[in-house]
Amino acid sequence: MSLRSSVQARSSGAAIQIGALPDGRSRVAELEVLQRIGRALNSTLDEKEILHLLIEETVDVTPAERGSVFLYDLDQACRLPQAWFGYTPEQADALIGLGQDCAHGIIHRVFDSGQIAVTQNVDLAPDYVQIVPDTCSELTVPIRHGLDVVGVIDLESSEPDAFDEGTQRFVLAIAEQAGVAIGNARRFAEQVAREQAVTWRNEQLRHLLEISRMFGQQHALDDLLDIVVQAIPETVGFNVALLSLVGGNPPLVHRAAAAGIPLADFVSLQQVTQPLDVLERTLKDKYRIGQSYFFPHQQRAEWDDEYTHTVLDDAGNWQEGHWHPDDMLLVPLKDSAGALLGLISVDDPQNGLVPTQDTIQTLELFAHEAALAIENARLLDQTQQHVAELELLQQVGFQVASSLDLTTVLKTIVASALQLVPASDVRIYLYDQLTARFECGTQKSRGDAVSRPMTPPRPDGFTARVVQASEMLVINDALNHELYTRPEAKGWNMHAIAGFPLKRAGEILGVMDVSFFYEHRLTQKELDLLTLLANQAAVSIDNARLYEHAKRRAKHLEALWHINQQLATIRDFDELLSQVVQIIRRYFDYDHINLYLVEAPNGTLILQAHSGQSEVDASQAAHIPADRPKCIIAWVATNNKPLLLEAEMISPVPYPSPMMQLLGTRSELAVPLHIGERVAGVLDVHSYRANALGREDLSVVQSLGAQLSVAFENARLYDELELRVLNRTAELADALKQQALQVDKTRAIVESISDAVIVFDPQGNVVLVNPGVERTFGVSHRQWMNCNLNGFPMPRLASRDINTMRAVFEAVRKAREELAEGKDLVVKTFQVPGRVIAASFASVVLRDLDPLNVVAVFRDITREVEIDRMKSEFIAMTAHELRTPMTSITGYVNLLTTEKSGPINHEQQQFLRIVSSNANRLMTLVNDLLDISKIEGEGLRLNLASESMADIVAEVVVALQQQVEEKGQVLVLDVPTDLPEIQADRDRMIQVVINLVSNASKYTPQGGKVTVKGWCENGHLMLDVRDTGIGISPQDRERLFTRFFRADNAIETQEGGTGLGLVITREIVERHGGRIEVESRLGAGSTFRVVLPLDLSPRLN
Amino acid sequence: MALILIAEDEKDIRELIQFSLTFAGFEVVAALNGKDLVEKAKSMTVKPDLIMSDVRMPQMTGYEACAEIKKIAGLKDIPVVFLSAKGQESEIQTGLESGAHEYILKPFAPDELIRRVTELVKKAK
Repeated sequence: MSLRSSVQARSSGAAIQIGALPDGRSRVAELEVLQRIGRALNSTLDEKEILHLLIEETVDVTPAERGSVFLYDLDQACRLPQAWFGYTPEQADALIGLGQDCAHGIIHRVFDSGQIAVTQNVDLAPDYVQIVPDTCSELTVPIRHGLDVVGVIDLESSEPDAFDEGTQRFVLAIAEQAGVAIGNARRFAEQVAREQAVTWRNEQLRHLLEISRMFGQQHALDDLLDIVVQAIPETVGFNVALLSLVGGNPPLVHRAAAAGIPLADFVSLQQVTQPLDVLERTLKDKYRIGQSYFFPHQQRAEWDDEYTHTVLDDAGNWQEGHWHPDDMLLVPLKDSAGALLGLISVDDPQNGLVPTQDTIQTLELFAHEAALAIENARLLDQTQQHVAELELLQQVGFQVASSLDLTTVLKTIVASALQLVPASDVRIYLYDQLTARFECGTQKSRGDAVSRPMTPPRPDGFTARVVQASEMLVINDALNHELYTRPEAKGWNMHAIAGFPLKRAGEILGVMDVSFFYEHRLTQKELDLLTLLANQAAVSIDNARLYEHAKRRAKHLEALWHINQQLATIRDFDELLSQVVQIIRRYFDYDHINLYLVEAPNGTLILQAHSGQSEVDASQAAHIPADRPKCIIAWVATNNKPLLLEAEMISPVPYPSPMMQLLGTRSELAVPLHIGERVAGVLDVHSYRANALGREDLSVVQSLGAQLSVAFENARLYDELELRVLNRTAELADALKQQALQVDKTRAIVESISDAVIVFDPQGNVVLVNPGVERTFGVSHRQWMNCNLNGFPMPRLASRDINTMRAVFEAVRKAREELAEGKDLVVKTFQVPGRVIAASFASVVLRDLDPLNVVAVFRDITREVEIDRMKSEFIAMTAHELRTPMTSITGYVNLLTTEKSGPINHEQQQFLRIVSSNANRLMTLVNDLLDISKIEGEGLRLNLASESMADIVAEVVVALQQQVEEKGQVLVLDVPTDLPEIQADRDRMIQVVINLVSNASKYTPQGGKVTVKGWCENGHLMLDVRDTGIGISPQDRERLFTRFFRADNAIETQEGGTGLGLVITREIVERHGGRIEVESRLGAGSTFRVVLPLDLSPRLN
Repeated sequence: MALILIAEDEKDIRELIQFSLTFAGFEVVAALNGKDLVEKAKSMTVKPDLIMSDVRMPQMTGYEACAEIKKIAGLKDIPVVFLSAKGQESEIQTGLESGAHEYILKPFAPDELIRRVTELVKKAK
């Protein structure tokens, strides 16, 4: 139902009631009044206008002279006259005063009781308050809306009893009409207000929506809080809003955002923080309205001492129900888990009133939104920060991993630490666990922090303690810590510090100190992050160090190599030293290098070479006595030990050394140099930086020193050698000359030899030929050179020449094989086309390991062979020609002596025997000559057959019987017939035995004895021919088997002999694989023993 | 009585042999040289029991003669003995190769010659 139709309905209802009025009054006038009022009510909803019309018409129609309408004013919480008629302004003011004084007045009675009050005589009414003096009667009617009394119509008249029942009924009807009208108007007003509230609410929601949207847009938390706070005045109706946040450890409340406060004031407010627990104590239940807390200024005394608020305003004009400047309204901000995040406090409401439920609810809505925003923002912040941290760590990891330069790595780590945590100062000290010494480091301060200089850590300080603990150390309240309350820590303003050992494989490489020069409590997360970073740093430092180490090592090696090269090439000692010092300077960052040498005999150290960053007059230190006290150079030379001199280092010599003072350096290292065992000098290096030299330098300089020592040694040896060489040069030159001479001689000899001489090296290459080669072989001696025994490059020659060379090489190859078997000399005869060559080969040991250098000497014996052949021919011819007449002579003498042609007398017989004997001698001589010629020529040829030695001996006995008998000798035979047969040439073997027995008989005097004895022994047949003759002297025995030799005592016997028999005999025996032995004693007889193998085959080729 | 054909260019030696063998009871036919030897051997109605030849002879050597005789059917089985000088073994070898059975070294004593020939004739029969 619309408002208007509702009003009409009420109006028509009222008309019906008025239509029921019974008496006395002009019905027309009343109806007109009601119609007018009804019209007015219909035409307006303005309460004031309705009430004015109502009272005017009512006074007009009724006997009343004046009247007023009181209504309860919601805003002022009191009854006030809303419309009046017939009162002067002064009287109207009195009416307002009447309304405000609830204690007196009929009006208030009616208001309170809801009953109509008809006062016919005001004097009789005890609660009557006079406004107009001549008032006699009064009619007071309540106006009801629903069950509530919302107002009163009060009419006054100067007449007593002016208001009759009809009038009362009429006014009651008017009041009822007014009640409806006021209700309508009020409902309308409420409606309007509600619509306004909806609009406002919409507006608020729009703001909140905007805020929410902003939250979604990832505004920074501070921005969001600003937006929330700035929205409060417009949306909730407070001019001042202040947002505080809880944070930190321990938790503190601090102002984060404000609206309606000048910036300067807010900044000063921000400086003030409140502990959270104080606030929590203040938030008592009795102040609580819903989620919020309202602290009326009346109770201020109770909390003011605990919770300081804004500056107090003068509270002069304060009214009940209004906002007092000291009032305080707080809305807590809680996260989803109910934890207190902060609070919003508001002040100075735009309507000036104390907050209504609505206001509080709206504010709570904001607070909730803000809390959510804060929570979200914090979560987002945390996430983002976490992501950022991780990114940073990753970046750090990447950066430090990608850099192998230690300085860069350290800088990156320090910078990263500052990005990870809000520290004031981060520094890294490198640590050498071996020397337990801190090395250089890197430091970086946050921009606004006071930078503390990078000093070496104190041995009892925090950093040293981290090393000692070998784990993270944290001091959160450094202000009270013993370390930072010491005098030297004054001014550091150290609030908190965390130290992280940089460890790698158990070794501490350094320490990272993270300092806070303001109140800060390191969270677990920060510590975790920094630990992560420290681990990363340790790995990177280790890598960088390894790399640097490798780099330095490479450089050192390069330097050593260069020095080595110099050492190898430079022979001038002074120049060498100067070069070495220059090289050290070039490759190492030592600022000064000094090289001292010990000068014998007093051991004074002389500065031999110097190289420096700057030119320094080192002449002051040019001579150092070996016993100079407190001098590092002298100390090193005397003690034969290296020495490192650094500040604050326990050392046998004082710091700084005189040399350091001279050069202005701050680190020094000296190592001894040696020649053999003896200290020969000192290598001394310097750095301008303090603590610049370490164990690595020690090892480097020591190795340089060792290198130099080697150089000294070499130089010394070289000098010695040089001297020796000088001495030897003359000898050598002499020897060379001699050798050259010898070579020339040898060559001359070799060249002058008519025989061909060819020398082969172990590989079979021809290395020497003489001109004789050309003479001997007819092949130019040039052609022989560069030839090889095996597959020699054959020069282009006539096939005859090639065949010649082939034959020569073939002979050499065979001879080499024999030489390789150990023969000293090989003699060979071979043929080349048209030539017979006699060659002798000998191995020559030129060097120990190649014994098969072969010297071959060739002689052309073609002519000799031919002559020999002719000789043999001649002898054979001669023998033949001699034999034929001899055959006739002996044959016919034999015929005569055997008396085949008739008897002869004794004397004739005697003469013929002499002829026969001499003919036989001649035949023997011829035969022997033939044999010798054969032996010396083609050799004896044997016709072997199985023969019995007994038979042979028997045949010999027959042949020699006559000779033996003539000398009256005894021939004793002891040759068993059952001796094994031997392979022998029968005629030749007979010749052997005849020779021996004949000799034995010849050289044995008359009546002597000749014994022939045969036996077997060790696979040999032995045959002894023993006589009792003149014997053979030892010296004759040696020559017994040479041609034409006859012993002196043999010649004396007058026995004939050619001196060839034994030579032939031995040759025959040897051709049978046997040998002949002689035993003899002068005058006592001789024994010739023939030893023949029973198995001949192995001996014969 | 055995018939012996001998060849020797040297008259003294030939007669010495002839005398000695005849003395020993052999019937002897003598040829002057190799050629004569072959011709005599061919022409003899009664074939000799033994042929004894010198080596070096004019017109035809003993070897050549021996080789010829060995080609002739009726004569090839007759033993041939060479008379050879000592020291010329190579000749002896050649003689044996040409089909000879034996050789007798010169110079020889007549008794020795008779003894050897007697043996050889005995062996040949």
